[in-house]
Amino acid sequence: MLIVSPVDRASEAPELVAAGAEELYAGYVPPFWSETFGPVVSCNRRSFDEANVASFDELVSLVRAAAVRDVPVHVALNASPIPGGMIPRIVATAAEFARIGVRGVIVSDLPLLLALRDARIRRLALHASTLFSAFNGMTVAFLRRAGAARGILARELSTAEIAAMVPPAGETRLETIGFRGRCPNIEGFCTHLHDDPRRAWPCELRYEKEWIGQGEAIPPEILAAIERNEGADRFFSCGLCAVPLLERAGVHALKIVGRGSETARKVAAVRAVASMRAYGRGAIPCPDDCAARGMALYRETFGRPCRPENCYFPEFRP
Amino acid sequence: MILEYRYLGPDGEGIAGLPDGVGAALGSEYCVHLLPSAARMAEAVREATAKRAPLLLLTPYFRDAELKASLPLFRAIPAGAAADTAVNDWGALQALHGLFPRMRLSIGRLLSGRKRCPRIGASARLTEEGRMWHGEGIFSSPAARGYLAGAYGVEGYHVDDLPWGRPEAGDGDREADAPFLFVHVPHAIVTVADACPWIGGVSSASVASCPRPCRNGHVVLREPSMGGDLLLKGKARFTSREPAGAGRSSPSGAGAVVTYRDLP
Repeated sequence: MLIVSPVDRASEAPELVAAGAEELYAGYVPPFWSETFGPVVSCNRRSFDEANVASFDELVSLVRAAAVRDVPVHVALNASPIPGGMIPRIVATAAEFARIGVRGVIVSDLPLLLALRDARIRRLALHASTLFSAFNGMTVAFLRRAGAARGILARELSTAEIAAMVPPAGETRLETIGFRGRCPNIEGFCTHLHDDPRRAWPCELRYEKEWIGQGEAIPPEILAAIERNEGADRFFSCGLCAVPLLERAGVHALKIVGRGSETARKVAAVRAVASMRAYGRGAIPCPDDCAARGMALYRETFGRPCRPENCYFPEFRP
Repeated sequence: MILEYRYLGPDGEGIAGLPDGVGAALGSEYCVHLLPSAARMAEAVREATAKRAPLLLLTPYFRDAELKASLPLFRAIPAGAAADTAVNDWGALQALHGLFPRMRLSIGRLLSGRKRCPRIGASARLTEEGRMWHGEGIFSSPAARGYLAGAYGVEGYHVDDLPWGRPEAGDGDREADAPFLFVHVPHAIVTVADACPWIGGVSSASVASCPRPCRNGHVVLREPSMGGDLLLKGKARFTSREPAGAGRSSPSGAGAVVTYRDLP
């Protein structure tokens, strides 16, 4: 199972690869897009500058820096929708990516996926983003028919559900997201606007609450469940416990979230996932052993115990 | 003529009491536990047929086991019945078209690509073109519509009546080859979670069946920067606006309107 790390500039590539990253993915916003839609609407769902490669020349440097280490770079074009008038320009941009050595694009818009499939750009694989909300094997079949060589699964699936999806996926490679960036909502169905320059997102805000229904107040167990996600910092999200079992199940790649974060944080994330994967390869552990090791590694990485609101795979929790 | 569907809850109770010419909507776009049983679906089809009322079954996303377990529900819809099924899962579309080639399928609101956060109307950082981008969706792509119609028999698209929504009245380019739109009013789904606060904040997939405690009430969420209240019910957050907007008899571009008395 490959470790897929975020990257924002060429200078990060050596450290990330040395830490264990085997694929890199980045964001890049072509000038024609930002000139049309302004600063908030990004073609890759990251509106802040730090999360995007600063220029096309920098992207060329990044691809070269990764290539000399035998690591492919993929670029996210995962906004949805891509308006019809933009699709030919985005397809042309993807062709430019392929020309400089980018090996894949991550897409979440069906019209764009179909257009890229029909464009048959050489040596450019199409990855169906987690925003397609692939919760089942038939969605993987749908995406394969639409041109995807890789499907990035919904973040909410359990280890067993993912494992069961691998054999019927056939030649379509499956990728899971398993470290950092766990959202309380299903990303493909979420339409919240993430426009705050301080990065205080609507899913993390603390809301004033009023109950409309039977009884006079919000039932306490409902209130507790709502408030558990308020103020949750997705930086602390983790799925380490599942890494050995996902690899054993035949998952092709595990993605780390974190475009726009500091290099040290990216490197620490890659090291943690690589360490858990090495443990799984050496010990062939059972789920209980995975949980014990994953929680210990979490504490080493973050300096605190893991919490339910940050857990990708709650089936490992006691 | 614009067709009207009234949402009658997950199980579609009260079809007999609908006014003539009004259809019934049932099911759920966001939770598998809010789908009717196969027996109730068969009964709803019989009631609607007797009343000559069209049916609209709303369906959510599915895990593999959930999709398999739901097949009897879909089998309860006879081929040729005046029933539409709105899918909010690409895999469900793939499976249902393969298994039931005559089923009338439409693309649900969760797959449309449209953005419905009330903050979109309030954000000072959005340009006007950026704001209108949030009203675009799969339905506005002739190429995607052609593909979905040809490969999967898709006949319509479900959307919300939004201030930044297209098509706008008098938009000639859109009207020339306009898709059939089911416009849902007044509650737009802003976001959906897999974990449900009404069952302790765990995944809805972790319970085999659910007593539907979310039917007992909802929570209003207020925060000044959001530009409007959010309404949390079960796994979904909604935003509401007055039906059809001031001075309009029906949402522009609508082929059918789906109305809700309460939050779905």
